[in-house]
Amino acid sequence: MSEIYLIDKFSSLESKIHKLSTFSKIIFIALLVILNLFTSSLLKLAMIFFLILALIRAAKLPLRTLLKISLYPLFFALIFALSQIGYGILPLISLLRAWNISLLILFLFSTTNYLKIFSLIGKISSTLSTLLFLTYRFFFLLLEEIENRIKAAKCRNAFISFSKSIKNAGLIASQILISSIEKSEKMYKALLVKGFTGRIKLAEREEFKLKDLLFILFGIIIFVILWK
Amino acid sequence: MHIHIPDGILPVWLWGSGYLITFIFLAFALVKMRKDIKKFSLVPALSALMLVVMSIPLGIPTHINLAVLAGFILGPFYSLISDFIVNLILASFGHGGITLVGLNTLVLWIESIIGYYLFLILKEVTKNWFIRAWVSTFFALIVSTFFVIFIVSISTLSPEIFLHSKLEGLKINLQTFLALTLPIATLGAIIESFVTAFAVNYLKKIKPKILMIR
Repeated sequence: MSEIYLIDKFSSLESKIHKLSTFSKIIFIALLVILNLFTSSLLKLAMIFFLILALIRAAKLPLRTLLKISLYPLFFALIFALSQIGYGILPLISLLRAWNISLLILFLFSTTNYLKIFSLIGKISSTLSTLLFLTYRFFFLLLEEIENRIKAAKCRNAFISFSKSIKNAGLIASQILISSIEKSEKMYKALLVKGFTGRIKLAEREEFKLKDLLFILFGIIIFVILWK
Repeated sequence: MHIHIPDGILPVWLWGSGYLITFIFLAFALVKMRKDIKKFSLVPALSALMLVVMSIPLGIPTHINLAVLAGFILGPFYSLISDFIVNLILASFGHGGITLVGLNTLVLWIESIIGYYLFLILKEVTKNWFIRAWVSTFFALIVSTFFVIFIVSISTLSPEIFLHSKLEGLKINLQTFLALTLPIATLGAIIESFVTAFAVNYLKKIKPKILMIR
């Protein structure tokens, strides 16, 4: 799950795209996702693919790493594509569609901090955004702990056979669960002291600037040209 | 077993319906949760655990997700929130499409609900928690796999039957799809059932209060 680590790291990079507002990036990505979903032209999908690659370059993101992360959904798309053999170029369309959309989503989260996106979700449901924030926070705490526990278990030959591996995986999962519950209870008490009522303010309100408007317009132009 | 259906494969009417159904139940769950502020610590802890265990490689193209365990701990209602959060965060880095978050949440929720109720029903058959947890997890995971197959199979139909629209149905060879997914899903279900059963046994001894199941 080092992907979240990497994406979180990428989102704090400095580029003109990183500095755009979350809202404008979401609108831009949404337009391209819709375009991807509704086009059946391999050429148009290929054009979108190269546009995404250009955007990744413009955002100073490591192209090879993002392409590597995007291979995971591509594997699942392959299962569907293999089931579509015999329907002309449809398997290729399915693959490229899935790849494009996964790259677009990776691009969004690699240029926008998770907290900013959760904050935007908070406009719809503050409960959900608070839960997302807490999950995100816990995830990093647990990831470190589970890595340490797995290392310790390996030292004690905990994964020497299949049956032992399964049993120890269950034990590690439950130990981690208890540890995370204890951590969450502590945090919950600390939040209550601070007057927690089920809502956490996640990020400052972002300004909508001219460059944000231009970015959305860029998205609309691409959408209109390729939609036809 | 959680099959990550990627974006752009299923027709819009299908994943749109998934979002609609999920949001309806999710809205109820979130409103209920607002009044039950104590769960604010448990839902994120479990969601984070689900995300973390998905990172443990099993050597086969599947992973455990502990959605049934989430049902055992959070109950059938709050587990939906956890399942949604997990799918949303997973989608952010390409594990399951962003358009499929609704449907994938329903897939996981089915596991949580069936696992939870089956565990309760099995009380009449055996008092052994390990066996109850194993059987209910395995059955829940197999049902959810067939739910995924059902989703794929109905997506092959023309949506005109349902919506009178001109959208195209998914063209797919179901036999090939079944041959590719069923063996992996069954193996994944066996592994996850053992992990969940060991976890439930351990929790029963160490911290039984957190379990919703009795």
